[in-house]
Amino acid sequence: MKKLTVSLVFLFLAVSLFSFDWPVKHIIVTSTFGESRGDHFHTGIDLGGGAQTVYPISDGEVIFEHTSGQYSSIPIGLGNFVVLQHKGNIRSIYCHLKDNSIKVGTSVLRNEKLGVIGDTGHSFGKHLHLSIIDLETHSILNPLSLLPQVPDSQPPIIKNVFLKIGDKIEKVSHIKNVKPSRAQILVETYDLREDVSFIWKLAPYVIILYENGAELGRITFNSITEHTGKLVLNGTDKSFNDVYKSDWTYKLNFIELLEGENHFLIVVKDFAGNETMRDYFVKIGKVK
Amino acid sequence: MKKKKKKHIGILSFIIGIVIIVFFAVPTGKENVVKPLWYNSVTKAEPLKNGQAEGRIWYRSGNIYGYTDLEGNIYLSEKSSFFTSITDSVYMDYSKVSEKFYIKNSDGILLDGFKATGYPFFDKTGKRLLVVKTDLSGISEITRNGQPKWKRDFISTITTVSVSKKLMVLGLLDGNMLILDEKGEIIYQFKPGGSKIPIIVGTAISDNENTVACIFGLEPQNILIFKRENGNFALMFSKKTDTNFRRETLLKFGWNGDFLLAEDYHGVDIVDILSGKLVRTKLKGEIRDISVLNNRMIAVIVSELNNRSYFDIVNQYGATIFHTEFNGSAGPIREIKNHIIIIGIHGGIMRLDIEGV
Repeated sequence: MKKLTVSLVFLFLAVSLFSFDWPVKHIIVTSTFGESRGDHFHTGIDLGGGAQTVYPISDGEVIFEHTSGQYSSIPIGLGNFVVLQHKGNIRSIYCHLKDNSIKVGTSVLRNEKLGVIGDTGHSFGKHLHLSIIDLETHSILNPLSLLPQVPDSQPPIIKNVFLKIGDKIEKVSHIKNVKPSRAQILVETYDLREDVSFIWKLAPYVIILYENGAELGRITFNSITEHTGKLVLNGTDKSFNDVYKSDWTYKLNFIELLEGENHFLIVVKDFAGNETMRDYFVKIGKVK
Repeated sequence: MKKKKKKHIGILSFIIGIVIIVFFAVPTGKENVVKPLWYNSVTKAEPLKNGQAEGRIWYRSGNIYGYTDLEGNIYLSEKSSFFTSITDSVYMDYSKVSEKFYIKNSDGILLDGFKATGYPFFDKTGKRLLVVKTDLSGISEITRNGQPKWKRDFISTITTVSVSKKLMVLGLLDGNMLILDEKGEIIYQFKPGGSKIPIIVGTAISDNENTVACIFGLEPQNILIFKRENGNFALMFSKKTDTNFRRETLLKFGWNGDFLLAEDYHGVDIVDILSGKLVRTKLKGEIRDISVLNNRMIAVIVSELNNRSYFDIVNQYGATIFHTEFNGSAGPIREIKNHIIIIGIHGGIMRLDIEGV
């Protein structure tokens, strides 16, 4: 009984110290972690919902902030921003906050106002860019992996699949008269924003390529780390240019197209676990 | 009615301030005299179309930027869109969501254009063109037509940058201070310990590129100075400060790299690097800019409090040898030929000469 009580106390402490809450009350994810930003990964998530109050994701200490008018040695794309230090060497960054909305002080509790969503810095409209850095693992984390899950019923869309043979790129359905060769699979895919009726694209969470039942490779937007001066997906050496062909088209692995029928499977998942799966068959003619 | 009266008093005190400065040279001890030469409004100025391109001096006054000369002629007067990077020969002005950037000369004539995903800025000479990622997770150097020279990304947000002819000092959110060479290679990396929270909030590099400094950590915060000997940098000075700045702070080398001037809560700390002595000069408000006149062993400092600006000249012992104040914002300070100061004040620019007697 005593053991159980001690365990429960520890569990309660662990949950309260290391659990994280959404920084806004009305949760609208308008951009996900890892999305293309032209030549680099999106290193956080964007939250919309207008000029909402922003709260810390957990109790923390204000360790750095920038507000317009303050001295700065470089142009600041993050606008007005605050950095908090949390337990476990986690740092959270809240960006594009409204002018004069940042709470000045040294420590904040998770239910205390930190600021208000704004449009400062490199921003096309009112939103909060939330980024989370783990100093222990030297990684930028996907905030969705720490925050409570939100309802999401829509599976990702697989729009197109292409084969890249040499320098030529063709839709898989248009492949004709191809000799046995090595081909790279490119997939145009995206997840959908839940709260709007039109198409608002978000990056998926995982893209997996299987050939004859065996996994050939995957892209997972779980965390980003630095490798030889480049940001790469954690656990891989894949930099932005290794992952993206264009904004919503991802570079998957190479397959060997052999004479006869070739089969591969693509699985795309969003963060809530919704998945879309597609089989592809490519017929390769006899070598003459 | 009250508001109007208050405004009139503000304008009157500003004019009196200008009159005092312009008509009365102020002796500043045995060696220096501060001699105001002219004050020009930049909001009402009609820019001159002709004039020597050489000898142009960039200025800023509030959100107005442009070019003047030592006589106070205005050659360009523009309102800043979002960010303006300006040097004596070239400038760029761009909006917050620009993707295309244009380099213009001091007449406002287009020289080059390029595309970038980030915010570009020049070093103080205009010779190096750098681009910082808008999420502050990387920095690159490019040519004036946008060709990349080098690029470097970090998992930790960049908090502060100092650029010299061949080096760059970067401060990161995780407490690392990096020195990069002109190819973007890390030639020195230092992550100090001893503070509850590791973070770099300020960096500086001396003109001769042999001394580098940073402000490190929270609880306590420290000034660290690194010296280059036989090609390698090594920590040569460290001192706890009374501050715990949680924002970027001003840090500047002066007097041939022998002194370091660091913003503190009540003014500026002046560190004599060779002796390790630290003197404190008490000033009002938050420091906006520091400029050092090497041959006169004095520094010009502008600070601001409640929409009032304070202009102080201090010597290396921390003693104030000249002081005046204005309504409104002031700065930045331009120091030319080691004795001429051009400073933006209240919608105008002013030239002050510091002469020896």
